[in-house]
Amino acid sequence: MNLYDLTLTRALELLKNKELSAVELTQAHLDRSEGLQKLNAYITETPDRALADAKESDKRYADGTARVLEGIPIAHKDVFCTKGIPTTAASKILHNFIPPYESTVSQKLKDAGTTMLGKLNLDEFAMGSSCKTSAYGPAINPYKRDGDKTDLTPGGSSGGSVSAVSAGLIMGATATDTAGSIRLPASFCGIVGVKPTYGFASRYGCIPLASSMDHPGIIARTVKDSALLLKEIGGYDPKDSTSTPHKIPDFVANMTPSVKGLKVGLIKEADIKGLSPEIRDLLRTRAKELEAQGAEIIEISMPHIDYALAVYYVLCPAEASSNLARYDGVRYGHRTKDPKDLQELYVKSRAEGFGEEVKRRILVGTFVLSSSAYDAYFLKAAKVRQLIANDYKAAFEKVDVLLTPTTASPAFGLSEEMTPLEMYACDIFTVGANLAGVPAISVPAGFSSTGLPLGLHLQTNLFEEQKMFNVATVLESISNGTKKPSEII
Amino acid sequence: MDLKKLENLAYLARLEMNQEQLEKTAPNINAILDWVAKLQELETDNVEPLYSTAVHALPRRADHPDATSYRKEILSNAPETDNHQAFFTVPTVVE
Repeated sequence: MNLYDLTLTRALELLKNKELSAVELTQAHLDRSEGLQKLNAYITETPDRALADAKESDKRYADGTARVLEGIPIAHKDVFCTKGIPTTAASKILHNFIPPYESTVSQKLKDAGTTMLGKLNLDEFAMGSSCKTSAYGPAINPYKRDGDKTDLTPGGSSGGSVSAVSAGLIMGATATDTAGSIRLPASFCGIVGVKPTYGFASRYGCIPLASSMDHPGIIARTVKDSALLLKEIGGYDPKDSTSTPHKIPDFVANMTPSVKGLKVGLIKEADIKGLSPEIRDLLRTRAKELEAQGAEIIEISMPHIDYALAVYYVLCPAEASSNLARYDGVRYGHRTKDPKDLQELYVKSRAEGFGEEVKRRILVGTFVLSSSAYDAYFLKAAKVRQLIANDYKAAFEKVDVLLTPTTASPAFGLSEEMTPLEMYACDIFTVGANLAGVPAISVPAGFSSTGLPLGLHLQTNLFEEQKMFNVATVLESISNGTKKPSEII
Repeated sequence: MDLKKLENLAYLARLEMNQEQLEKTAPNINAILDWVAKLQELETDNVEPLYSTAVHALPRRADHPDATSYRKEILSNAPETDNHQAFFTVPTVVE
């Protein structure tokens, strides 16, 4: 048996029963990581710290003070600040940044007893759907098309998180999702990606892209594993004024894996032209299977959802251009060599430090916030965001959960050239949840004719994560869409 | 978006861009702006803008002092400090 094939849930049982030590478990994942360097999943690895933490975990198991996720190997997307450990956001501008403080999410997982193996690759500042904008080269999808050696994208922006979890380098990972950056890559790599309600988890210490749409969340191989991890990162945090005081259910203990009597909504407008026929078929098949298990399938209309991406590509650059103003070469990060004056220090440090996509979004954001364009673009987009949120509100008066594809196609080749607009379209099914703040999950739901994983996407009303996990568990069990790491690579 | 306007935006955003970069970037930005212009199809006169989905009132916190950041830690990431390592430094602004 490969220890890296274990689910997090099973590993916890073995650890508790002392049939497995935390050091053995961590070492197995470090060895696996060493053998799969080609996936480029990590930006920074911390094996020494990981082994020291694992030793501590074994002590705690021995003396009866083990915490809830004691000894579980995980890693963080490299946007979560980790005290004393480089945190880059996959950008050259932060290549030398060592945070003097810890993000709330990483602190909570540390306090839960997890062992951190390192910091994971992503699109630069989480801007992208392919991981190709990383200044450290893209992470690679452990899956390949049947009989084809082409390297595929793991998806983005959380490409390193999904590549590492799918390939068994770690048992779970943190990630962030601003338009689909957790769910899209989870779908491309055949694993589970969950984005909770806005305000469920604190953004403190999480390098921002677009603050009103950034959601910390979880990547894991099973729904149950993702629920165990998500529970630990949630809760009100006085350090994040947008985090919400809320009670976090014990998702796993309360799990009722049944869809009997539940209303499952299919969104009429989500049947888009570019949707791959096999994904359309998969959606219909799984909907029928849910119906057979007692769910009621209801087709609903969300008339404004077609505008969600356009809203996003006004609001996200606007918020990003403001958030990224802090990288000025003065207080931390990259500074240009020998600037002749302060102006040159700013413009050269930023030009040298930021990649192309980041600059593009800063420019679009600066434009839509400029006085001549503000009403026509920024204000207009914020108003349409309201219409989309109203669509969600109306939908959840009729149904319990919305079911759509996660992506319109399976993972594509890393060398395929795409225009920015083609790349943006990857988030078409996922971005609505970020605008409305509702929880959403991508569940492995089957495979393409070329052997690539396909995900389906569930959304529930605000703070209805429990219901989302319940339905996700059923979808996962009828789909049989999850492979063990050793079966993939 | 003509090149002159783009150049001004780059200045406002404090990004140095040469002529070649401006020429390469302009069509992409125009494509994005053309595409998001579809928002104009919708009637929104009586719609309130939505800037955040955080629904709750801000909780208050107790008013007591708390240590947060320390100068030495903060300055440890500075590209440049003065000789006493007490300040961030930048090129001279006032002669």
